[in-house]
Amino acid sequence: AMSQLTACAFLIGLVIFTCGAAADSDGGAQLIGVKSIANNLIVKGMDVTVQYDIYNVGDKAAMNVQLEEDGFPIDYFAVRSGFQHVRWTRLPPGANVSHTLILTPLQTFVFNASHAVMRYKVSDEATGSTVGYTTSPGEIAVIETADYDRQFSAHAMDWLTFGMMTTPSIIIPFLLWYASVRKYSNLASHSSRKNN
Amino acid sequence: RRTHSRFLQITVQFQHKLARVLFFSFITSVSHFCRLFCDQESQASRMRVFAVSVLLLALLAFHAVLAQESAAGGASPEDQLEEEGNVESEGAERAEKVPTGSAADSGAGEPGMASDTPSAEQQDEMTKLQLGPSDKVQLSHLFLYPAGAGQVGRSLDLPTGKTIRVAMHMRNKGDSTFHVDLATAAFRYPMDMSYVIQNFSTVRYHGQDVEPGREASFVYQFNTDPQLAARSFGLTVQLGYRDAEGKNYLHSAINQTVSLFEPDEGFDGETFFMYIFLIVLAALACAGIWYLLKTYTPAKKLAAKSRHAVKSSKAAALSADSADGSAPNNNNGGLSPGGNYNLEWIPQQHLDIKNRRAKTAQSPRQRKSPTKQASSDASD
Repeated sequence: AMSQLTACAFLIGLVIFTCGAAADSDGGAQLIGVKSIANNLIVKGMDVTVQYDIYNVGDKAAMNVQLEEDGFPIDYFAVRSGFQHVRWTRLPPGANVSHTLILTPLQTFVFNASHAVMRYKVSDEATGSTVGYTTSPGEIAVIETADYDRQFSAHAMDWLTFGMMTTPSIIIPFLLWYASVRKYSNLASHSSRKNN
Repeated sequence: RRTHSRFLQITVQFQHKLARVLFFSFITSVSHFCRLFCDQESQASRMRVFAVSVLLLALLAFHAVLAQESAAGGASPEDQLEEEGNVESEGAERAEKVPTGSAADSGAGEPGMASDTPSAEQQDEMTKLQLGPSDKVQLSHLFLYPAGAGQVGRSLDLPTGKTIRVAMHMRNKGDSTFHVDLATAAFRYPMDMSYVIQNFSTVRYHGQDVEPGREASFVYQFNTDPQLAARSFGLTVQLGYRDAEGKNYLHSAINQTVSLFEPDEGFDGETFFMYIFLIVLAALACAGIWYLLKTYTPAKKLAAKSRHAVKSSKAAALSADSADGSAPNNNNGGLSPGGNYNLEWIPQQHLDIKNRRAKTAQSPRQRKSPTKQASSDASD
């Protein structure tokens, strides 16, 4: 019985050990940062929405999560809303957080959107911070406002001009017709009055 | 190379058959010549027959030997190409020839495309070139779309016809910087992961640096074809990187069996319009039935009966010669005797049967004038 017990204990210990060893993450937090640009078109003077999603795929809560975005130079982009340095106290395992940054490009250029930097502690008792990089959206091209408007604006002024220019070729025949109709209907009413 | 092997196979088979045919013909001709020889009367004719038969048999034997030889000679190249002949029948056997897990092999992996099957020496070289993971790097992954796929307790099910997004996380546990170049993915045969069914596009990351002790995330997306029937595949998503010395690595972030399913769309235009069509058909059928009932209801039968009654009364009216042509019984409520149309709008002169010139019907051309006609009638 004793040998059976020890064998059992050994087996259980082995199982626990293998389970622990199979865990890829070494038992700490692992943060995946996804940085994406939500716009289809990036136009000078119009808002660009940059979305950051941070997922914790590890086993433990990530402590003191900081997101630092220094990839948008101040003379190329103006920050409309959101922060470029964000901090979360704690990100539990399996959870995710989102952050949005809204910028306005000030010039027309081709821009290489690089990664943002995340710093966090893999667990409560970890000594140093782990540095991670988010994904990079890649090259983005900022286009001129005129190009965007040519495709997407309402062209109200253009339609107004068009209306004004086409009005003569519609109004003049109408007036001629109306004058003629009035003349003949007047004649008809006169003659009918005469007959009556 | 494939066509060459086919040709060789065919010629070898032909030569085998030819050899067989020639051998049998040799045997029969020997017996035939023997008989011929024995049938000869004179010595001279016997000599002639013997000479001719020996010549012909020698020719036959020579050809048979040649055919046999070439058949045997063709066997050795045939051995090397034997695997190509087998590809058509057993596609999975190809695995033994191709090195496992090698993404450097850009084979398209269709059965029958045996031109990529290497010889033994080439296979050794490819094994040396085979890219594997680095043990200084730890990878993990997360499915962004569909969210939560493949997590603990849930099988990895991917929808067809959608863009699948995966985020890969790389941790550098070594001492030198790694430069991440690319990510690629493939659908493979689940029983044999070296057999690629579909390769997905390679995404370049332009050598993103991951310093020692640091981590980085990479997003990879691919489209599943909507025509892929719901079945299981082996999915591999691999990250390609190189270390500071320039050595290339190919590390699988995902290497597991996935099952594809067809997502239900919610609003299916086809089904919606099919229902509309069926409703319209049903309405049409109802309308048809209502129309038939209306036309062939008892009211119709009554009308037929009244038509009979009116006919007899009409005959009576003609013979009776009454001044008042519209007897109360004949009126039928302003409708025709059959009840089909309204008589009230027809001027009376057309309805008065009495005034009909049935007996003296003649062509209007012969009519001189209404007054003259009446006088002529009166005179008649």
